[in-house]
Amino acid sequence: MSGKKIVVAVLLAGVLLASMLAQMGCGQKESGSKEPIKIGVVLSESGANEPLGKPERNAIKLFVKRLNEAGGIDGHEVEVIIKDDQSDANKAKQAMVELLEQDNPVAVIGSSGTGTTIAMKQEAEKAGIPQVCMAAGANIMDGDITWIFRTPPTATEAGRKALSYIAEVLKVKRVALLYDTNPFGSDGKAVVEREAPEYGLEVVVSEGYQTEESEEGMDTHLTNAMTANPEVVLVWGTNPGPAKIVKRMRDKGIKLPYVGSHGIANQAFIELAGEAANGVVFPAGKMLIYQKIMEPGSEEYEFIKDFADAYFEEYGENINTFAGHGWDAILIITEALKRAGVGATPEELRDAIESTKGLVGTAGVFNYSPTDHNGLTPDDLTMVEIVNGKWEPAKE
Amino acid sequence: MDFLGNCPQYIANGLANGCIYILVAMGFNIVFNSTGIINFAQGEFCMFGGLLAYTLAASLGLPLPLAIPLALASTAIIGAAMERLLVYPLRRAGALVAIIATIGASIFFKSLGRVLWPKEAYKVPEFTAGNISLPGATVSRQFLWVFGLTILSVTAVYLFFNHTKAGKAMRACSVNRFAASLVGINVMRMSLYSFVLAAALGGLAGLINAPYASYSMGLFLGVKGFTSAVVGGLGNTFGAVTGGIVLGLLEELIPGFLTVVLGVSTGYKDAVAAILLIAVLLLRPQGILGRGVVEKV
Repeated sequence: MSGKKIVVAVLLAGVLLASMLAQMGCGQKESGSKEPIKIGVVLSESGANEPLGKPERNAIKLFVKRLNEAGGIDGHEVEVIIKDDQSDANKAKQAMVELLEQDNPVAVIGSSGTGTTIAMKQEAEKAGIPQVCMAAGANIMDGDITWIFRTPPTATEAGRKALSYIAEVLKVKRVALLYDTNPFGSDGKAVVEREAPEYGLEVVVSEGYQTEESEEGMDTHLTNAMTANPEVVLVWGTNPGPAKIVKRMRDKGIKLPYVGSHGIANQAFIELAGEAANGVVFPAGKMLIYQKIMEPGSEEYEFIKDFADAYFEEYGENINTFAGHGWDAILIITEALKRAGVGATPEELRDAIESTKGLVGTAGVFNYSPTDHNGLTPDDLTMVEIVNGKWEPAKE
Repeated sequence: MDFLGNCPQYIANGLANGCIYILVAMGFNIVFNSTGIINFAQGEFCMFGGLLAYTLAASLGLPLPLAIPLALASTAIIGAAMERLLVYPLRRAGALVAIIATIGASIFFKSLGRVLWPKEAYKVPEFTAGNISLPGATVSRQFLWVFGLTILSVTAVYLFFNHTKAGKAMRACSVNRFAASLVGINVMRMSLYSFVLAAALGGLAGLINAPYASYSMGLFLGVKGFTSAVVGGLGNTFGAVTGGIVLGLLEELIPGFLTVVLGVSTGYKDAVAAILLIAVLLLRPQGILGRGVVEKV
């Protein structure tokens, strides 16, 4: 009997203590800090775009953690509500509706992919709330761009950078374009064909391929392209297609220069293409080789170094482009909030984002305007060459 | 004529791809013959073959002569498991239900592949690296393996079905499953054998299709293999050979002709397979080598 009594007594004491602690917790929150600022985040933590969504989420969480430790914005904590859209446009739309109904955020970030971003865009427009996306698809900016902004460089910036390299550094004219028929490659194809004449270049052949095709399949595209007597091969796609093409090209003894897209600005390309990767040149954000092209002490260098160090310390991983896009997205919103003031309406916050000028981020220097919600220029990119399996600045 | 000059290369490329299609198509045929269903997870067997070969040879560092049989055996076990866990329990539900279940299996396998091998692509070791320069064409040394192993597989499958008891029993199942069971053939065991064989052939296709493999390769190869099987005549071993070669060659020659001669580059090579499939189904539904099916009314 006495044993049972002791158990009951301990339980009661436990409940009492817990409720007291809970009350103390509540009290502290009410007296200590001001109302938190809520920012909704929808990204692809799972599904096809998981390799993008995970580092983006990590970067956003870390940014907010550091911001709050430093006192938040005017003493208000920033709270991010993160939802996973599973790389599915319908789920992105649903997550957006939930965010708007339940959390009433001041702005939203998202999503990782183009399809999910467009699904969110429709909801953001209806609700009248600023959206900063991390996807690069050209069609995101089709139609109304009032509420949508983005952080990554698009095919336009990358394409113009690559074309100017071909015209001014390689000094050749006849371009053979091989592009992936997926949305990434088709965006690139449209830009290259549209912009080439401006750089005095001629696209003598443009061949679409599928990234799943075998090396032999790629060989046929190369054979077709070579018939047009090009002086340079420009390949616009994501892994593994460009690796198959460059390997086949070198196997066949084709010695023409190979220029790629920012879709191969990753270690995977070097692993897949092996030896053949050497000599490949592609446009990429300066962050990829910032230690080799930026002056220590400059604002851009220190900004990226701070991000890279903090990210490594928190997650034990090196930064990548996608982590950078997440970092830039939350940076742009919080900087605009600082300028517009904490109580800003969505309209005022939108105007503040649009008036962002000279803001140093990981992908470059952001300048938005009423007609340009992309924010970057070709100058924010740099040409990278693969030398002995390592990234080096390409000659200019 | 540039196009004619390119032709040796187009033909070499077409033959190389065609061999892979033949192996996949034979997998479709074998399962169709003994069970009457189309196994839409056939392409995923290729994925397992390729990616398991990557894991065993490149990740774990096993020598290729050991890694390849192991990868094939593992793929065959996956095929057996699929038959026992999915097709066998549905044996009384009718072919259509089983076919839809194989679509489910293919989605499951692809998702599993994405969990186990999440990167966009993996490099599968080639049997022998390097190239051979022929007049007018460059082919990889791997191509010789692809060619040789395909001929070997076709011969083996042919001999198996025509000269072994198990093979003849499986053919009996394809003619009439009920009658086959009446003369003492264990129809369900034949179904199991067919899945094991089809999975091994698919796995072989996936791993000799080196040097790249990814979780998403199954659909691509599955569609091509299915088209080859239907074009040649579903269920017919030499039909698979005909279909695979015809599809492989047309897929390289038609886009080559369009780009080089007419200057139109559509970028949709897949259209060749789709158009060929539709054309054959409209004009000769039994396939090029098919005998035609007499249906009782």
